[in-house]
Amino acid sequence: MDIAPTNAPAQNSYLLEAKGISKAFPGVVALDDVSFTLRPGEVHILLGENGAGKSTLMKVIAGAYTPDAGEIFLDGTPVKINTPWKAQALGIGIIYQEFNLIPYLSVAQNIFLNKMPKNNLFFLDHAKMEKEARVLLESLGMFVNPKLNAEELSTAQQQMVEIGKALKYQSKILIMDEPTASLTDLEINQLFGIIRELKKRGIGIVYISHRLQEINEIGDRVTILRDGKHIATGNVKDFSINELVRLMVGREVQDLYEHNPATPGEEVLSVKDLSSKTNGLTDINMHLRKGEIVGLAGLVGSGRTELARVIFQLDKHESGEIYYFGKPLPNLSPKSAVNNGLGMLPEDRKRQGLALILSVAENTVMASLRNLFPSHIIKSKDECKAVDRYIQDLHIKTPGRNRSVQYLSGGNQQKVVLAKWLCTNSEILIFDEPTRGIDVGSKSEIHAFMNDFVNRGGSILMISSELSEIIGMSDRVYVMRQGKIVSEISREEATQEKIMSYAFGASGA
Amino acid sequence: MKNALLASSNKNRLRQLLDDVPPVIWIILLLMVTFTFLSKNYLSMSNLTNIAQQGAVLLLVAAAQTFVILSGGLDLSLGSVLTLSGITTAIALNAGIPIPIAILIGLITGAACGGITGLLIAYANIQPFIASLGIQGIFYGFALALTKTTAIFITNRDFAVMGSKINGIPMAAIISGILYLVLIKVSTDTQFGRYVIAIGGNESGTRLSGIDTTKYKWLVYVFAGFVTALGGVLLASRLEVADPIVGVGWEFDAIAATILGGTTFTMGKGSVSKTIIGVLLISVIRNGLNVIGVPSIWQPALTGTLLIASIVFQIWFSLRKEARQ
Amino acid sequence: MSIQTSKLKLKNIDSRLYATLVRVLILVLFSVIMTIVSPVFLSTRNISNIITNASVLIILGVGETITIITAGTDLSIGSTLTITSVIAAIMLKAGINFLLAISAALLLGVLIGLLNGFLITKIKLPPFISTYGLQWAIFGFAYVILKGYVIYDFDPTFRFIGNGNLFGILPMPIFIMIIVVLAGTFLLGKTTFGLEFYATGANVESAEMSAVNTKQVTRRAFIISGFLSAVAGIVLLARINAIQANIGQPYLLPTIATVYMGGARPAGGQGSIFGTVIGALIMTLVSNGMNLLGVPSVWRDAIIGAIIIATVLIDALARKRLEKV
Repeated sequence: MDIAPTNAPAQNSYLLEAKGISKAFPGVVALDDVSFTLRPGEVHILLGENGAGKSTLMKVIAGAYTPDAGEIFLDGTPVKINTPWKAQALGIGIIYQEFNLIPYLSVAQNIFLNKMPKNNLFFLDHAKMEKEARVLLESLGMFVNPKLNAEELSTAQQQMVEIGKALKYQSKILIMDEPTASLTDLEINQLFGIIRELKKRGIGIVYISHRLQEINEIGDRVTILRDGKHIATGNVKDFSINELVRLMVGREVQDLYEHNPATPGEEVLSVKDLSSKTNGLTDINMHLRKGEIVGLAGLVGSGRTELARVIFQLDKHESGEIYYFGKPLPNLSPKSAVNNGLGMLPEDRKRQGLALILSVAENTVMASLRNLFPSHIIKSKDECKAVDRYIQDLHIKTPGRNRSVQYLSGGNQQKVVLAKWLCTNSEILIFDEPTRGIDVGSKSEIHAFMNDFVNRGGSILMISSELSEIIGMSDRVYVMRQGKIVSEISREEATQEKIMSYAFGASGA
Repeated sequence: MKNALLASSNKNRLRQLLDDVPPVIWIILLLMVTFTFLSKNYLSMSNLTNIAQQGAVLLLVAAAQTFVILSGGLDLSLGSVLTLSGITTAIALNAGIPIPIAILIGLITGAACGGITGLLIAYANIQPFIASLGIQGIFYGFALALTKTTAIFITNRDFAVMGSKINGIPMAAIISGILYLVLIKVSTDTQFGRYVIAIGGNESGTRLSGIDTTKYKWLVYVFAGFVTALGGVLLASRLEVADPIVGVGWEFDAIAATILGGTTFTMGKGSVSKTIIGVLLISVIRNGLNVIGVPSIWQPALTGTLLIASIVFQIWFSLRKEARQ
Repeated sequence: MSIQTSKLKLKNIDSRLYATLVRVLILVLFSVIMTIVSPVFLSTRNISNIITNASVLIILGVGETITIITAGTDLSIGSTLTITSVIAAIMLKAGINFLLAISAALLLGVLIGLLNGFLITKIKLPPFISTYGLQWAIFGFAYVILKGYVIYDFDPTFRFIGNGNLFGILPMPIFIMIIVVLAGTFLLGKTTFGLEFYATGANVESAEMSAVNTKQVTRRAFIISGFLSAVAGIVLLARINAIQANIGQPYLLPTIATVYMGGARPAGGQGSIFGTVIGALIMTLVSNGMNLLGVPSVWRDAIIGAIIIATVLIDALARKRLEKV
């Protein structure tokens, strides 16, 4: 049952209005008669599953795509936005999820990339560029040294540069695609502060996010798309999270972040007094038991991924021991970790988890070559049987097993990574940000899978920056800070505040 | 106690200094010291200017290649462009065309060659390796055809002035040096130069900022062809001859020099200003082996071995530096 | 909004298959042109000649295909071919049993491959640099060993490899080539080793994380390439019955070009031996055609360059339309 759009105020108070936008690509209709409005000084959240059309709509507005049908009005005047540059000139700025900064150019040069100030001769005026960059950033409440090269900045700082870059032409409209995806909670708060500043200046912000809990905090209105169609628009406070999810997915989604506590068995993995200089880890002591999901929380840079890499034998450690099922193993290679039943789903699935050009089948069997094909000869019958089973069990949406994985959506790509590890019959899985940037439907499928996995005797170590995911899914939580484990919290005691205070090292914690 | 602290901080400062100096410089110094030992003539003024003269042309070709590599590409045709531009200049001169115009013809040749290569790579989206590989065959074909496979002697004696020595200092080195400084300035202080780095570092991001990356990618190759042609003209002036096989392999030397200067294929990282170090090393090796009397049969083998050892050293050093940070 | 069904169908065809089809088409096209131009073309003798001539290129191509898929271009194949056949030639002339000579050559090829593997995996040199530097040094050493002489007229038992016909009808080079091609195709397509090559080439990090020993896989690739270069060297030596220091030089660029024409991409993870074979046949056909037509040798390289570009261009344009989103 759809909720009818709320009554819109008079047309001319809209900063941006898109009417009847349609866009199709070969084989798929991305947008079907979609309308969207943005008021000055509002944060308008755009929600929808992957493939719902959010990115396409935003790219149309930002000039990266031209629509097949529909019109766009800015302050009531119809405009044609043919190129990204035209969009910028019209005052529309967009920040994509993957930042678009140039690593070896300075902050100032990045901001003014398409219009670098020159002196009277012909050459660039670096001093002027840096000054203007500084002024621009400070006026938005951000402080970054304009001389630094972009590759020297942290993720949050890069984002600030992106915002400065997007708003340099006194833009009135800012589109942000998953802005909080790689930020720590502290950095997210900073970002929200900046957003509130921007709102005060009358800038309208379109905010795409998969993080439902952020919506209440920062959003004013929300629009839901599904399968390229407009489903609903309204004030954020008029929707409950369940309603939003239902509208996005079109069905009831249960078990969002729900996990039944386990009765843990013997220790399958234990780490004793581990230190690694290269990875910045000191005196790590932790363990994982059979049937458990253990969460690993902490700020970005606290060493969680580094610890996972050491456990998985990707990186070396100088002192301490790692025991798999009670047996100690010396420093070896990921191969020995895999042989001992370990699997790891890395943080960056595109760059580390998959070989994008290769097919679903090839990626799935990649880690199990010795087991599946002991004679080293690949018999296609065996390969197909193994692969098809996982495609089915995990509901991987793909036209076929030979489809190159680069064409799959984020959620399905993650499922292929999962399939790869299931194929190795791993008993211990390390998930590093398992559901980052994935649509709600796939997210709950992956969580359901995780529950199923541990119920059947597997064990999971889960790194996540989403506190609700940590709290909802874990039996126990370790909190890391600056390369050390500072706390172990049981499921009953875990709260957002408690975890955050350990992560920050606040007094009394 | 204080002395110990002072001593350790001095040690750190020394270490920092060592870190910042490009590793290849040590190799150059080591080689020069070795060569000085092995030959009385090595450190003479005439030999040192020889080194400068030999490296002059390579400096330009290497700088051109550096621009291309920084933009994320590669140009294997620069050797043939070097040859061809020298040949067209020679033909023009011999036909009685005045020097400045003949030079211009050579430069236009280079730019045009680069333009063709750039079309294939930027507009037709063919991989740089294979596009430039294919096109260099065509350029060499033209070179062979124009010269009817033999060398062309340049009859205009005034033209040779660029290759001569004034007060013992080779003109070629001076001209090349000045041009090199201009190239460095182009790289850091012009929009074009910055766009080269931008496209190499993040092409899609640059495009989304509204910049016509395809056009600029094309321009890099035109520019590289033009700069290489400057080298071609210089070389023709020095040798007073335009020889179709003279450019063979220069593009690889240019790549080696670029890498020895610290620019890598990690896109956008590196700079034109360091390429001279790589050129210096190559020139020192070639000149040195000659001066100390290594039989010419052994020279290619030793040159190759020394170069590869230097590259290994350079990469090992920069990896260690990164690990320490 | 109507869905363009025709484009939908095209997209469903695996793009790799599509690329191969394009190339076969080009080969057929050329064959047709050649037949029209010269009636002798389709004779068994001529075809047999063509394929025999292509055999060295194809054997080299199989090795190069594997390295390009896995890690990068192997630029040392020409030099490896040269030095392995030089060693074999010297041993044959010294009266050493031909089987021993062949074994020595093959062993040397493997050792060079090992050296490449070491430089690339342990020293972490980019393959491009490592193989280029090595080839320079190796060519130099080959030159030193031969001292500029040409050796010719070898033992007839040995020469059977190059000139003999198996069972009276199948020329030995073709026979060896077929074995190499079949072995290579099987290795790449149907074994775990093959998948490991593709995985390492497509994304080293993810392969590493999937417990593939990428360093070992890379070393394997270069060892195979070195070995096959030696095989090619033996076949060539037996066939032309003479050797000089630059015997391998003209094979380097055509081999690389052939592999890229066959659909490989510098990014790695893509390529096929079938494609390489087609590419080699096209190249050889064109050479053969140029011979028959009496094209002046000055233009030969140019025409080959143009064909390389044309093939890759057609492929790129076709792929662009296929993946247009």
